[in-house]
Amino acid sequence: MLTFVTPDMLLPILALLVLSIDLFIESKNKTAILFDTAAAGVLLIIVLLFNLPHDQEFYYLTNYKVDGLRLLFKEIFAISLFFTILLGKGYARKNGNWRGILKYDSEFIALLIFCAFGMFCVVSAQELITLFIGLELATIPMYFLTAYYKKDQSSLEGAMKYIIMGSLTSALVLLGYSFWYGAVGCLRYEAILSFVQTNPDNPMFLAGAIFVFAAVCFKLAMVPFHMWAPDVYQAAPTPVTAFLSVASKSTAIAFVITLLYGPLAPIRHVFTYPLGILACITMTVGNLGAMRQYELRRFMAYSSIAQAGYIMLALVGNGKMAVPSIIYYLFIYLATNFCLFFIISVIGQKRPEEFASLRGLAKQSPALAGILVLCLFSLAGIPPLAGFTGKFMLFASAAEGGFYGLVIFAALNSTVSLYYYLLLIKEAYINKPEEDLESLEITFTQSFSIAILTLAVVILGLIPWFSSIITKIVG
Amino acid sequence: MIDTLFIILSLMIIFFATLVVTLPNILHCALALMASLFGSAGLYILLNAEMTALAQVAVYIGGVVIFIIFAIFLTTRMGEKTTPSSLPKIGWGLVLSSFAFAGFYGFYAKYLNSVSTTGYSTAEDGSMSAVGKILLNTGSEGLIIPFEIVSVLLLMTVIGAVVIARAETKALNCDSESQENI
Repeated sequence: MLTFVTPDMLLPILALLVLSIDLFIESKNKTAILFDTAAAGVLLIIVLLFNLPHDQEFYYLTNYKVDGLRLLFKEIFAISLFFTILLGKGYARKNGNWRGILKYDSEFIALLIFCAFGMFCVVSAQELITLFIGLELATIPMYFLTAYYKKDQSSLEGAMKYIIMGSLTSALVLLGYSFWYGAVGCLRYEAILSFVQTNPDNPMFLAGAIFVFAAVCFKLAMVPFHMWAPDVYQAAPTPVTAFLSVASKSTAIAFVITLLYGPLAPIRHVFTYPLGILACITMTVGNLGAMRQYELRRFMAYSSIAQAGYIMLALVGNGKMAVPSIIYYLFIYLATNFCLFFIISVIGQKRPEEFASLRGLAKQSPALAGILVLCLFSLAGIPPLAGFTGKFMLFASAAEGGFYGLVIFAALNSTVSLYYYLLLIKEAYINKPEEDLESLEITFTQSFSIAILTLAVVILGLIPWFSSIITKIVG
Repeated sequence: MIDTLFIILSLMIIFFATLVVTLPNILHCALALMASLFGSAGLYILLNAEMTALAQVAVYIGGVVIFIIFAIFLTTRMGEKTTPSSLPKIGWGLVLSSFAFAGFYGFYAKYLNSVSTTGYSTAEDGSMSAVGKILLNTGSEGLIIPFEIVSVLLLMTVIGAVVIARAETKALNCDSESQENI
């Protein structure tokens, strides 16, 4: 039965393996060896995860649960880890990025893998302490990784902001836990669940819930706790930004879902209105903020704030569709966002990652420009791309709960977002570059990853069985 | 007896906590923080939580405050005084803190009965051996999983801290040059 936790156990082992390869192997191609080993290892873990039976429940040492929902989340984390490592490989070589070479490769990879391990712990936890330590393990590496360009002042500044905000978040989570512990007297999910069933409106417990959810809003960069996100996304190296925007966000969502559909299930309706209002404000602020950006990573930060708003909207519906639609959307969001970040990494090799650097892309590389359009349309939710199906399911889940007003508001917001996604397309297709552009280099890893991700963006929207499989597993 | 001790300890904590934010010399603030943390360690002893009290002394007083003092020595000149807060700032601080106090006081005064009296509240549960048994227990009450994960967390933190704090020496640059020339 240990096979259920093998992927989790392999992750820290893989991190140590990468570190020891760096120590013991002397080779001119060490960077490539490190990244390839890590990618191969993570690929193995992904295969293992997909091969586990998704219809069974397994408890490891009684406090570590593995089931279909948790496996799906772990697949999301592992796939994002895989693509982050591939994305990082491009940054660890000469001329990989205009900001300089990413040094300390083995530590970079190891920190990412430890981070993914923390995310695994967050979803599998069955008591609050594992949940908290997993959350810390998923966050602290990101502080280091944000500061990875050590000579860049803005990078350090962003990391500093992230540490301060992140520590505040951890303190809030613990404060919330202390209220819960005071009310329940036990930290296990089962005990909390039975307590909440008998005392649904214990004020002590609800006060704790407010603190915990404020902390989750920090992690998810929900308004009014979103101010750290643009600075951190801009400061971090692009692979780290990609990982932050996909995996860290998914972790926060997994945190909410495991709590709301686990120990807090009897009082889920309490959170409906606050979540709905926050989701609407978040998507509006994200959309308005994105309109005024000219730096690509900052733009992606605001775009992902808006996306978090759409995702949280599905939780409002409270029905059977909520969790499957969110997981389905996370898979699509993963493919689309990583595809965009790979395009940004190709552009960012010699030019700063700004809107202006996209000029002339359509002439220089029509294929890349075409893929950029596909991804942006998918994020905006244009049929028949995957983003449309995903967003449709999210909104349908909210509509299932009868929140038609919120759905209309979100749909309007989604239309507004089309404006700024089109701005990027305008830069790529219409605006002329001011000077002659250096040719774009694209490595095999990059073209391979972009090809796979583009395929996913197109196909996931067209095949209907993918969403029904997820619904079958989770529902 | 316990009530008197509690009042003495609480007054001590509040007194030194006020000193932390009002003293002009930042080093004195750090020392006052140390005294305040000793007070809370005393509170844990009153609650029979000897393990927590020891951890408080070892980690906060022995670690965190010493760390703060190091940071102060490295970044400020001795004898340097921080600028005293202006009167409006103190006023706002008072208003905000009294709101917070009123909020928490009101909450606890009204809902104190909703605190659980079951669970881990017997005297021996705070003892060192009881905590050790819970940490290494593989059963449903045990916390072996977080105990193990913490080791990964610490390893990761050390690796990350070394990477960030490491000086970029010449030798290392040559090393990375040779890596670049692949």
